[in-house]
Amino acid sequence: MSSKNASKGLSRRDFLKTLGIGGAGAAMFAAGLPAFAERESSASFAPRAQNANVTLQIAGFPYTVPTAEPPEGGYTAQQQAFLAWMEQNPNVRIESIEAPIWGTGELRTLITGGTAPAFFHPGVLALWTIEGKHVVFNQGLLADLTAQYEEFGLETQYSDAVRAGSIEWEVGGARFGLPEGVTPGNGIFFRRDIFEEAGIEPLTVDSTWEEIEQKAAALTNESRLGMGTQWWGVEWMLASEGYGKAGLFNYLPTPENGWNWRFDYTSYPEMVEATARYRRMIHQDRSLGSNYGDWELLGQFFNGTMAIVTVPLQFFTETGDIGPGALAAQLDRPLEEVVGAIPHPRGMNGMYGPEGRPGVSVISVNPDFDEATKSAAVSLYQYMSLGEGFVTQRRLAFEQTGNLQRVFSPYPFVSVAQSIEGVEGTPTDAWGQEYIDLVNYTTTTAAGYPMRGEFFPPELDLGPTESAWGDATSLLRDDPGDLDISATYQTAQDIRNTQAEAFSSVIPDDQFIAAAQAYYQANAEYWQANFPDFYENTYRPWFEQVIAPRLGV
Amino acid sequence: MAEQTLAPGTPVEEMKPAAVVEVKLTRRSRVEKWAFLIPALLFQLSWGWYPLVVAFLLSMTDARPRGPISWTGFQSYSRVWADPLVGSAFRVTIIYAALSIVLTFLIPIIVAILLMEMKPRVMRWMMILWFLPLSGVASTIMWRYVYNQDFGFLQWIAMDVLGLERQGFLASADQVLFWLIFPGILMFGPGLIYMAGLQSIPQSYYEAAEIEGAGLWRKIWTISLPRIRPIIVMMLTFAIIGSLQVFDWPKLMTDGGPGGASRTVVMYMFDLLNSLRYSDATALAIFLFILIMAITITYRILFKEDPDS
Repeated sequence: MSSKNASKGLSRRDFLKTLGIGGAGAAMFAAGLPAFAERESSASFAPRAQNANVTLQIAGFPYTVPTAEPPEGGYTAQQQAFLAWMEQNPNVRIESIEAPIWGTGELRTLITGGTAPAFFHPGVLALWTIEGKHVVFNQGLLADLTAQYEEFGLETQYSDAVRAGSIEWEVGGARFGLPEGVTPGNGIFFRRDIFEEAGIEPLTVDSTWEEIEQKAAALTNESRLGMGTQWWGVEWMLASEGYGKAGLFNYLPTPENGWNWRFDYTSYPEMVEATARYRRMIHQDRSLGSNYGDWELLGQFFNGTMAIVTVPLQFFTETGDIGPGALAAQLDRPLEEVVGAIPHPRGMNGMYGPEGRPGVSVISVNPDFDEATKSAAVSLYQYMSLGEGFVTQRRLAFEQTGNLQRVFSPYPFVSVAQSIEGVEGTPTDAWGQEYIDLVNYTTTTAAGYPMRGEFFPPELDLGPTESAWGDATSLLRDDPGDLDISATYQTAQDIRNTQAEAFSSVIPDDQFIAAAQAYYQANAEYWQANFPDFYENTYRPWFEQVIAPRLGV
Repeated sequence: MAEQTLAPGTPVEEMKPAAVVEVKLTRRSRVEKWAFLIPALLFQLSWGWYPLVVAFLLSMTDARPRGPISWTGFQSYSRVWADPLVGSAFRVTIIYAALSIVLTFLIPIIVAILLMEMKPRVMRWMMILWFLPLSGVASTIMWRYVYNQDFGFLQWIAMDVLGLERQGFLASADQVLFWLIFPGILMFGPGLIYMAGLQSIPQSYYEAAEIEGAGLWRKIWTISLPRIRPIIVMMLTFAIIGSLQVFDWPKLMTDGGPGGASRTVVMYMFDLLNSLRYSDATALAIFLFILIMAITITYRILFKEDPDS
């Protein structure tokens, strides 16, 4: 694999020269293909943002820029906090711009064309995957904020859940994202009132997928589906067993090949069993609807047309018209009597799936910014999401509504402080002990959960597309016939492995093997400490038989 | 401009070469000519040929959005060539194009010709009904409802009216391409253009043919079809190119599913772009370009003959 880094680089200038295009041609070039702009290597470093004359252009995300004149009804709490920051930082000019930051191609064009706003969501560029974010950072599409992390001491201000999810904002010691939201994991909501009405025992943290299947069937009637899930819903059931798009067992390290990973979708009967359950629920019991987005599911749950839904657990603290709080208010019953929440069940093999770990949503900064402008951007973020501005917003929300749920929404906070100075009341008062216990459970259980991206250096390419996997799962979801599940997975495996053969990794073999060893060692330690049965019966035999020979250990 | 005079009784063959007269443009005319041509040429060069050349060059690099790039020769082409999903996307695209042309190209011609035989009042009503402008997004929402497996209109017809088993429609890998094309049959898009062409044929041609005893079929075969042949040739070119480049409709309706059964080449190109594989995506675009060019050139050669000659 010595040829992995052998290709000689060609600068943008060389490339333009080769094309024989100068001056005006360069403008056309930018329109025709991504601009190969050099990344800023260094710039004047300003330790405090407010001393530098810089401009931040904001495209409505993550903050709405206040207008010069207060709108009818006055500024929102967020805008008032924003104005306070602007007053403290008179040298920073804020411009509100319109930019299509939610389309992958559009955002990429904005960045490569040098017209990106200050903040955007890195997931948009990176297929919403962790590895994708690491790759786009490596490609220079996200600003390196390591210096600003140090300057503002950000890490000390983050909650445990955010720190546990550092893979979302850090790679190889470099920081590329600013956490703006945290969910205690993906999980399941169920309507306690509907369960009660039907005389069915509520779900618990120890519920299994088998139990959920039975209860969903029992809750299904003409006007209600027992359960609803996203169009990628099969991933939840597979993830509980360690399989799926990013499954522990489906990725096999193969350092002797150009691309370091191969895919195995056919060696595991539990994978077929979990898929069969999913298909049975959709096509046989007709108790599962699996073609929805997160918010549609919340809406169906609110309407009572689905009794169980898979959603990000953070939705529990959603205060909009279809949130659990609104549902309880509409039924005029206490929240804990109406909505129950649990993490995804553990697998048949005893595994705790990666979906149970807290997820951190981050914002990224324009990679063209010099250090002073990056500091200004981070100063604004720190003020609004962690510091004084954050407290102001929450306090104003309480003053305006007197509703504690408005203060602690979304909850948990990114900030280490989980209460608000000047507001009497706690998150438990707002959302009940059960939800707080759930947050503590997922945060504690997931502490130290090993994720691949934490151990392996980022690639320059994403490798094979996920299309073949998506094809398999869409077929397994949609086809009502007598589909051969194993054969469907076999096809996906063959395609992805054929595709993988055509790629080369930029990670040298010795580095990859060292990273792989650290990754599997961390897995061994985590499973042994937290889920010893799974470690003994499943993980250790699998590692010894499948992984150790591949790594030469 | 010199004027040519011919003596009465001059044989026709002698007229031909003399009819071509060289016109000498004045300086002003030349400037005017270029003033009109240059914007169009620049537009074509910058938005047509330039991106094509850049795409070709890009496909031979490991281009990423930023940072240095390297020449990689035909590496992207061999990677794309070896990708099983590329073959499947081309297969889907060709089947889609063939089905689409058979089902949505011939029918509007036949219907347009038959409409012309109707009474003007009936014809006007039929045209209004057929050519009602419908928003693309509204149409997508409507058709998604029509195809819905649980409560869609077609499912109701299949199960309650026809007593058939539950149908998959867009969720069935075997049926999905047909059901994607089906709305195109009903929408009758290109029919308007044929009708415009048919209306421009002098009525006297048909009257003369009727006096000679020609029936409906004879009139269609010897008058209508030959007169709208240039339109058919042009429309077929557009239909071939358009159907081989199809993206938005299947993307919105099925996103390539189920199991990739409706993923076209351009959709897979989109997947590659989203996976940050720019050079692979452009290599695939070049493959598609070659296919479309080959089909279009072959077709143009086959239909080169002038019907009036």
